[in-house]
Amino acid sequence: MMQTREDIGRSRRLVWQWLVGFLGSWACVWLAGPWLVNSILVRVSDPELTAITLREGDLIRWRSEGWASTLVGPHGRPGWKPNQASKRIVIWGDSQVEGFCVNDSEKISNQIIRIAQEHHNQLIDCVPMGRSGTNASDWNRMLVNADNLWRPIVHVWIVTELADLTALISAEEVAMGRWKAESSAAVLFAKKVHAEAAFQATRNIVLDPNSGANRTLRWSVGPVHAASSANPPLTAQDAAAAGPMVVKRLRVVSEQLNQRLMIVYAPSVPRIMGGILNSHPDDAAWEALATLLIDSSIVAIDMREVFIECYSIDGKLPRGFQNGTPSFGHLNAVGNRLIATAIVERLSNRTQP
Amino acid sequence: MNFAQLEYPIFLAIVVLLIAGIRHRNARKVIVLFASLYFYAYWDYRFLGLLVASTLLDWSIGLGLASTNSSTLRRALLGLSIAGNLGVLGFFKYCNFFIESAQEILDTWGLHPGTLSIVLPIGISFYTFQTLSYSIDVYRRHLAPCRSLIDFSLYVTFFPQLVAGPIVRASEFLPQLAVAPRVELAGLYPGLTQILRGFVKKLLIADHLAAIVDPVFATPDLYAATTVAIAIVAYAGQIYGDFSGYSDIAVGSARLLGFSLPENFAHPYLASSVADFWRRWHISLSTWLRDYLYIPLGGNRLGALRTYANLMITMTLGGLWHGAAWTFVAWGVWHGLALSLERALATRSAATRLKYPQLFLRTLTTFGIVLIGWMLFRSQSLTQFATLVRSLLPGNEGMIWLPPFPIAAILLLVAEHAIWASRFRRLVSLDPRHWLTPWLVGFMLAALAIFAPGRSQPFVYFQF
Repeated sequence: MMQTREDIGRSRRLVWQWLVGFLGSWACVWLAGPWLVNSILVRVSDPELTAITLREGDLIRWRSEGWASTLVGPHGRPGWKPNQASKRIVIWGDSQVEGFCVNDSEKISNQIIRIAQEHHNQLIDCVPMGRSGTNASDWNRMLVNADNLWRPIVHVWIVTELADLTALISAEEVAMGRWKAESSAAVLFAKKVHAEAAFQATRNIVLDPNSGANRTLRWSVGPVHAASSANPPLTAQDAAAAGPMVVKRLRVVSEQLNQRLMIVYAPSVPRIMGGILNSHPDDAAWEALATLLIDSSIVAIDMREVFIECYSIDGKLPRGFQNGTPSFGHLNAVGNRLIATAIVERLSNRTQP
Repeated sequence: MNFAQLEYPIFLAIVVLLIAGIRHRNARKVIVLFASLYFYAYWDYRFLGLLVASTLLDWSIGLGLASTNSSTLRRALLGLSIAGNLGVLGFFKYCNFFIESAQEILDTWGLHPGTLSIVLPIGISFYTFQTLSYSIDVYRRHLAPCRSLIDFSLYVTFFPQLVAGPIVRASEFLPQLAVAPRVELAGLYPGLTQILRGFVKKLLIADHLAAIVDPVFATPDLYAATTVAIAIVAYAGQIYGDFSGYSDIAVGSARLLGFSLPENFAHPYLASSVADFWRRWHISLSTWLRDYLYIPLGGNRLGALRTYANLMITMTLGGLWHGAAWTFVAWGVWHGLALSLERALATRSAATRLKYPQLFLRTLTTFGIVLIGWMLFRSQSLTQFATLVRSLLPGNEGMIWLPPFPIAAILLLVAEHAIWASRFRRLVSLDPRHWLTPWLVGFMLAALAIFAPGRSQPFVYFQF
C-alpha cells in the first residue's frame, strides 16, 4: 500500500509529539525531583574518625514519612553546627539519632542544646553520631576515635531496639562491613546532576524494599512460606542468656570511658495495634538487662513511661508523621524532645552537688 | 502470580513473545494454557487439582447435555454441575462461617464442633461462577457445548482473568478461540496503555490509600471524625482503584494476546442512582447475578412485592459471594434495600432527563449510599461498624491525622472522574494522537517508578 505524503507527515508529527511529550514529562519529573524524593546520600571517608561518613555541606532532603531537610556538618554529622561550649555530649544511635525525618532544629542533638540552655542556662554542644542501620557494635568500634576527637563529658547510646544493644556481642564482623562503602562515581554523578528521581526509581526496581539487598525474582511454584521477622522480640530467656555478656562488654566500654557512658532505652511504645498498646515485646528482656546495668553502675534511662504519659496526658505520640502512620516509624519532634529532656535532666542531676 | 509484582510483566512479555513467534494456532493455545496453569501454581500448586477437576466436570457435563434430549437426565446433569461447583465453593468458603454462626445453637445442645483449618483457593469464586454459567447456558440451549478440552480449559484457566475476573461468559470467550490467541500490532498500544492505567490505579492510588484505611478502620475510636471520614472515602477509592486496576491489567493483558474481555467498571462513582451504580460496578458479576439469579427468580415480572423480594435475595447472595461474614450479608441487604426503595420511589415520579444541579445531587446521594455500604463491607464485624459510625459523630475527640499522599490520591481520583464526566474526556482516554497523551504516559511511568510501594498490598478481591 502506498503511503501518501500526508500520511508520512502525520506519522512524523506523531513521532515528534511522543518524543517531545516523553522528554518533557521526564524533564518535569527531573525538575520536581528535589521536592518529591529523598536526596542522594554521598558517603566519603573521614580520616579523623576513620569511618565512612556523609559529606560535609550537603543538604539532605527527606521526603518520606517526614518532610524535612538536614544540613550535614563537620565530620559528616547530620544537623550539627559546632558551638563554643566547653562541655560536649556525643549521642550514638541508628536512624533515630540521624534524624533525617525532622528538621535540624527538631533533632535530638539540637533539642539537647536548646533545652540545656533554656531550662538550665548551660551552654553545651551535642554531636550526633547516628547512622541508619547501625548498632552498638558499630558505635563501640568508633568510640575511641570520637572520644579523642571531641572529649565529651558523656557518650549517650540511644537504643530503640534491644537487638541493637545485644549486637554488641554478636554482629561485630557484619557491622564493620557496613561502614566500608564509599559512594561510587555513579552516585556522585547522580548527585551532581540532581538526578534524585531517576536514582530513586532505579533503586526501587533494583533493590528489595525490605532488606535493601539486591532484588531477587521468584519463578518457582508456590506455596511460599512467610519468612520470619528480621528482628524477632527478645524473650526473657534470651536476655537472661545474653544479658550478662552484654553488660560485661558494656562495663568494659564504660571503664574505658571512665564511667562516661549512658544508655537511653526508647522503644516504640505506645503503639496503635487494635487499640493503644503500652507494652512492648522486649519489655521483659529489657527489665532483666536494666537490673544488670544498675548492678554495674551504668546509667540507664528508660523512656517507656515518659512516652506512655505523653500520649495519655497530652494525646501526643512520640513516633509517627503525617506522611507515615501514627505511633510507627521514626521518632518525631515530640519523641526527640522527650529524649532530649530526659538526657539533660539526668546530666543536670549528676552535675549538681 | 500477583499482577503487581515485578515477575508479572516479565512473564507476560515472555508469553506474548512466544505467541507472536509461533504460527500454529493450537500450539499457541497450548502455550497459553500451560502459562495459565503455571500462573495459578505460582500461588499454590496444590490447588491445581481442584481447578482441573472443576474444568473436567463442566466440560463433561456440557458434552453430556448435548448428547441427550431427556429432560430428566438434562436436569440431573445440570444439578450435578450446580452441586459440584457450589459444593466446592461452599466447603472452602462457607464451611467455617456456618459452623461459627451455628455455634451458639449447637452449644446449647452440648455440641462443640470446632472449625476446620481450610485455605481458600485463590480465584475459586470466579472460576466456579464461570463454569457454572457455561453449564446453565448449555442446558438452556443458549450455547453449543465446547468439544475441545483445550479450548474449554483455556476458557476456565485463562490467566489474565483467572483469579479475580472479569467473570467471562463462554459465549463471549469461546468464539474468540477461532483466531486467538494471536499478537497483533493494533492490539499492542491499547493493551499496554490499559495495563499502565491498571498499575497506576493499583500501585499509586489503591496502595497509597491503604495507608490511611488500614490503621483507621482497625481502631476508628482513636481518630477524629474528620480523619475517619477521610478514611471511609479513601476506602471507596482504594477498593475501586484496586479492583478496577486489576480488571484493567487483566483486560489489557488479554488484549495483548488477541482476546477481548468485557470491561468490569465504568466510573461507578459517577452513578446517579444505586441501579446505575450496579450497571457500572463489577459489571461482570452484576450481570451474572441478573442473568442467573434475579431473572430466574422472576425478576420484575411478578409484581412489585416479588420484585423487591427478588432484589433482596439477589443482593444478599451477592454480598455473601464476596465473603463468609455477616458484614458482607449486611452490605448485600443494604444495597437490596436501596435498590428496592429507589424502585418504589421511581415508579411514583415521572422519568425525566436530569439537569445538572439535580444530577449532581443525585450522584452525591448515590455516593453517600455506596459509602455506607463500603463501611459495612470493610468492617471486620457489625460491632466495628457501630464503632465506625460512632467515631463519625460530632464531639469525637480523637487524633486528627491528615496524611498527604492518601489525600492526594483521593484528589487524583476525583479529578479523573470529573474530567471523564466533562467534555474533556479524550484527555484521560490516552488517545495516541492527542498531544497530551505522551506527557500523561511519561508522568504515569515516572510516578510508578518513583512512588509505587516497594512491596505492594495484595489485591482486595483475591480474598473473595
